[in-house]
Amino acid sequence: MDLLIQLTLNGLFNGAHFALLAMGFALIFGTTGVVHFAYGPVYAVGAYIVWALVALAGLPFWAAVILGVAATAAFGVASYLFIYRPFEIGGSPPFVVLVASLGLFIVLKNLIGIVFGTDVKTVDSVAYDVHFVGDAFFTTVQVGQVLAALLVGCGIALFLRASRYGKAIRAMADNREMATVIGIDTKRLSILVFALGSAVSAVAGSLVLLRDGLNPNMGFGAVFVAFVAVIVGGVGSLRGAVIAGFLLAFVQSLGMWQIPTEWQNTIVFVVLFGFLLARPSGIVRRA
Amino acid sequence: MSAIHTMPIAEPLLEVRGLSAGYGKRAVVHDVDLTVRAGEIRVLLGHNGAGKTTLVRSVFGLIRPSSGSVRYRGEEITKRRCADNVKAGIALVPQGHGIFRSLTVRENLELGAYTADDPAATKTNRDAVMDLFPILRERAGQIAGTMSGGQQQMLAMGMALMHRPDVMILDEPSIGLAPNLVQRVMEAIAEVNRALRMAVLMVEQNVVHALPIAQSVTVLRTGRKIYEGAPEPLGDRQYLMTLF
Repeated sequence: MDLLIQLTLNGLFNGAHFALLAMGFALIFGTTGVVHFAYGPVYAVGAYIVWALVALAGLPFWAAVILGVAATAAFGVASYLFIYRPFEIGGSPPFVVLVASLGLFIVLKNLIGIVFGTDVKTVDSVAYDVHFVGDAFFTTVQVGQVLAALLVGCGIALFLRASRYGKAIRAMADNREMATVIGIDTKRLSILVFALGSAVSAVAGSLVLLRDGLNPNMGFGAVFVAFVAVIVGGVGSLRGAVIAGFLLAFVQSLGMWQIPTEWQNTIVFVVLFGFLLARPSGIVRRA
Repeated sequence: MSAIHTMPIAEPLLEVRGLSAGYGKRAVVHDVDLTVRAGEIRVLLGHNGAGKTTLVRSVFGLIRPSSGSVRYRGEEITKRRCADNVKAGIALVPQGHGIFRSLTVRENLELGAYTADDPAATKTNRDAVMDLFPILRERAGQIAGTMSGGQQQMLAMGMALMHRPDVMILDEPSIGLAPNLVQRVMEAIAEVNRALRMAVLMVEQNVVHALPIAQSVTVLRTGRKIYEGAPEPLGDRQYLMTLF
C-alpha cells in the first residue's frame, strides 16, 4: 500500500515535470510545425547554464534560473533562425527540417559532453526539505515542480486566450496560410514561440537540476516524453499536452509497481501506439 | 446592370502588367495584364489549372511572380509582403479554408483586423460586418469550424472586410457550396460591392452564378488571357464555348 502511495506521488510530481516539457514543445511544434528534436538538448543546455551559474559563478539559485531561462530562450531562437528558418525559406519538405533537427540534437548533446564533461552535475548549495506521508515521501523541489507547472500553464493559457500575440499564435497554429493572408508576421511569431517554448523547458530543467542532477543525455528522454505527450494530447492543444504529460507519468510510475524500471520508455511507447491506433487525433480533438 | 456601363470609367485600383508566375520552374501564368477599377466587380474566369489562383495569389504577395509588375493606386507593390498589402487596403479571401476553424467567430473577426491599430474603429467595423451578415452576430461565440459551409464563407468574407479594404480578392467563393448557397454568396458579394463601394476581383469557375454580378470579365486559358471585356457576350453559350 505504501509503495502504491509512493508511486502515485511520483506520478503526480513527475507528471508536472512532463507537463512543463510538453507545454514548451507543444508551443513550438503546434505553431510552427517544426519537429524540434533539438528541444531536448536545448533544454539540457539551459539546465547546464543554471548549474554553471550556481556551482561555478556562485550566483544564488533564483538569479541563475532567471539568467538560464533567458539564455535558453536565446538558444531556442538561434536554433530557429540559423537552422530551421533557412530551410523554411527554401521551401524544404518537413522531412529535411526533421533531419536538420536531429543533426542539431547530436551536435548540441556532444558539445555539452565536451564542455561540461559526462559526469552527473548536481548543486549542493541549495537546501530543501523532505516531507513524509506515512512511509511515502516527497521533497520541496517536487512541490516546486507542481507549482511551476501550474503557474506556467495558467500563464500561457491566459496569454494565448487574451493577448493579441496569443490569439495570433493560435491563429497561426490553426491555419498558417490564412495567418499570412490577414497580415500576421509568421516569422516574428515563430521567434516568439521558440523563445517561449525554450524558456518553459528551462524552468523544467532548473528543477530537474535540483531533483536528479544533470547528464549530457538528459535531453533525449525530455524531448521523447514531450513529443509523445503532444501526439497523445492532440497536436495544437496545450491542454491535451498537459493532460497527456500527467497520464504518461502516472502510467510510467504505476507501471513500476509490477514492471521493472528498464521498461519505462517501452510503457510510454505502448501508450503512444495505443492512442495512434484508437484515437489518432489525441485526447483533445480540434474542430 | 446596363446603367453601370454608361458610367464614366473609374480610376484603376489594381494594375497588373505582363505578370508571369509559377511554382519552381513550372510557369503557370504567362504575361497577363489585368486591371481592377474602383468600385467594380471583375470576374476572372477559366478552367481548372488555367492559372487563376496563381495569378491572384501573386497579385496579393503570397507567391513571388517571376516577372511583370503589380501596381496599387499607382504605387509599385510587386513582391511586397502580404501584411503591407493588407494595411494598404487589399484583402484576400483564399479558396476553401479562409477561416480559423478552431477559433470562435468573434475571434476570427478580430483577427481579420490584425493589422489595424485603432480598436474603436475595429469595433465599429465589426458591428458593420455583423449588420451585413447577421448570422455572424448570432454565432459570435461559436467555434467557426462547426458552422455550415455557407456560414464559413460569410465569415471568411467578414474577416476580409474587417479592415475596410478598397479591393477584395475572392478565390472561388462558390467552391464546395450547394447551388442555392452559391446564389446567396454571390448576392452577398454584390451587396458588399454596392454598400461599401468596394472593388472586387473574383476568381470563379461557376460561370452561371458569377456572370450576373460581374461588371467586367477576364478569361484565362492555360495561363494566358483570352478574353477581356463586358460580361454580356459571354452570356451567349455559343460564344462561351468557342472561348473555353
